[in-house]
Amino acid sequence: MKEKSHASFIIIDDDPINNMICSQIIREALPGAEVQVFTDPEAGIVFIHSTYSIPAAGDTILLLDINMPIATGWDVLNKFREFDDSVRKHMKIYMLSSSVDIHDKQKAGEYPFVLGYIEKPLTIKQVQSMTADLIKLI
Amino acid sequence: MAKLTILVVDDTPGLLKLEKAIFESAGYAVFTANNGVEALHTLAVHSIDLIVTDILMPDMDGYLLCYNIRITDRYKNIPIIIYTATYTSKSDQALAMEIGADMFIRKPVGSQTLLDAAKGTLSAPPKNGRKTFTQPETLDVMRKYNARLIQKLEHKVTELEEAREQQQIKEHRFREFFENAPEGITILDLKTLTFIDYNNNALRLLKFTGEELLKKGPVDISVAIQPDGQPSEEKARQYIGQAVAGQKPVFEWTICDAEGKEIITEVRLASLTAFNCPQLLASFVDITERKNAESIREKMTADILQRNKNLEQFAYIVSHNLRAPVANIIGILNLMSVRKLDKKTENEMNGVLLTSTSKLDDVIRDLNYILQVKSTIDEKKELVSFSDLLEDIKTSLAGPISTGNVEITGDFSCVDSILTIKSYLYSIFLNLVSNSIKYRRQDAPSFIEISSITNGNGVTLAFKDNGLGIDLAKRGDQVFGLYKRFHTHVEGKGVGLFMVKTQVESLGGDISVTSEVNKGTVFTIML
Repeated sequence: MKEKSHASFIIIDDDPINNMICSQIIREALPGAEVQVFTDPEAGIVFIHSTYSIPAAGDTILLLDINMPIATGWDVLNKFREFDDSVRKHMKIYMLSSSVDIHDKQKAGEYPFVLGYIEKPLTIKQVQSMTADLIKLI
Repeated sequence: MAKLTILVVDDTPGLLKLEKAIFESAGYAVFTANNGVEALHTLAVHSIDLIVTDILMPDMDGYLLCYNIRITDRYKNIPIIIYTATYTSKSDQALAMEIGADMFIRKPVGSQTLLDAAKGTLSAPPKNGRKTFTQPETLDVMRKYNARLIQKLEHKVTELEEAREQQQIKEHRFREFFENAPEGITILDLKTLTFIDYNNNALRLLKFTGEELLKKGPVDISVAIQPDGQPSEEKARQYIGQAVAGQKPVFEWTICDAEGKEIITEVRLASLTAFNCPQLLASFVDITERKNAESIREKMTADILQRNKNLEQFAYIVSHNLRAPVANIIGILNLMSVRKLDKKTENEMNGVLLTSTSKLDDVIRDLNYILQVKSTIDEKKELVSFSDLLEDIKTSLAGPISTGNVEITGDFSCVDSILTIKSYLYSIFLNLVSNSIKYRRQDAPSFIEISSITNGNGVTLAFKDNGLGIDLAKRGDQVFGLYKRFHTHVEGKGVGLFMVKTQVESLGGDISVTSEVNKGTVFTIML
């Protein structure tokens, strides 16, 4: 019997359909996992900053889209760079994008705190390996 | 034993010195004289054992000297060597021997040859004694001497005449070349700094008459300040200095012709070094056309590079926007295959699947439309009235206009029509006006003003609103980007402005934007 997961996820993506699919996939892979979705990157940033300033906060996996109309995933990462270390250490960031362009993958590599690059659609297997990595890091 | 003494006679000081040195180094004593008269004076005073004489000398030449020596008892046995460069024919040699010389040597010979000749003549007197002259012999030799002189003179005159003819031919050739050269050529006198010669093309270019040009200098035919900001006088001086120093400067120069027209030329300077008058050759070529072609080519290259960049961007964006819905479709199908879903969830999934598929279809349609507009326009152009078009738009957007309480005015008093593709212009107006309505301010009455002015051969349209504005500092380069949006409180795909730009550019025009956040925006279109 699968035990209830305590994993926590945040998804920042302007496409609500994608967000719905990802949430479902995560729940299939890790029943009981917590998923927060944001279609507005600004709102997502504000949420992260306020929630994770508390030292007691746990670790969360952030799935970040690249091509968004108002602010791109890179804009979000640049904002993130300016955060305090105390906030940053809680976030395990993965880029999640429909782009298969090699330049995007290379650009992701320029941010050392981006742990990986996932091509949509998100699969159950990928969710499982992400959380496995998470456990390893702790 | 006393030294033997040689008298050397020659009117060229350098040769005199040389021969003196040669004989002295061999142990002779040497006296020198510059011509026949001086030689006779020296003979009267000193004892001379040998005379070496040139022929062509002023006051008394070598032949006459020889004759005078032979008819004087005191000297008649002194050996004489005639050593000459000019009188070198067989007849000249024959005369030399007839007039009493012992030996005839043609210049130049080596010092050893000269010394051997001197030694030989000194040690071996001629078999029949030296020459003496009877009266008839004198007449005869004098006649021959005259003949030699006359022949030499005739020869010289012929030479001079030939040289003059050659000179005339060269001058004539130069003149033809000068006149027919494609460039405008002038000659500048550096002392007076005025032109002293010119060819027809120079007059044609500068539009002055010959008379007028001869009173002018380089600064008089140029603009006061050259395009690079430097005063012509200063710059001209620099270039002239370079040419005088031996360089051949080539540079662009803006002249001002007699009618006041400014013409860009390419100028070449060269110093004319013949003779002692300092002159400069200055040639002019009108390069206006070349410069125009250059600037057109530069513009075209910039244009092509920009279009290429746009195309790359476009390809990236479209491929991404095509993939996004496809990724969703795959995601949904994955979910549906995980396990059997309940009816509600299944219906939900199907609905989402449909939405994603139709989104994909939308992108493909957008792409199709955009490519159609980007490709060469085959559509017919017609005269379109701005005011009529605006009325059509107001009718189409009647609903949103009244809901938003927006006032739209058009000022087309300057120009009210243009020859263009009606559907594109309609689409441009529609997109810009509907954007202004969508992104209006909520806290104040909204205005949209559209105006037109003529601009050269074309028309400039301005679309001004007092809406939410765009933060151009942050997002300026994305305003016309495909699928880019700045405000999400109203619906929209982010395609409108991209379409407007594509259409404006297809019509051969340009679009630009100025804006201030919460104040308003102005789109300027040049067609």
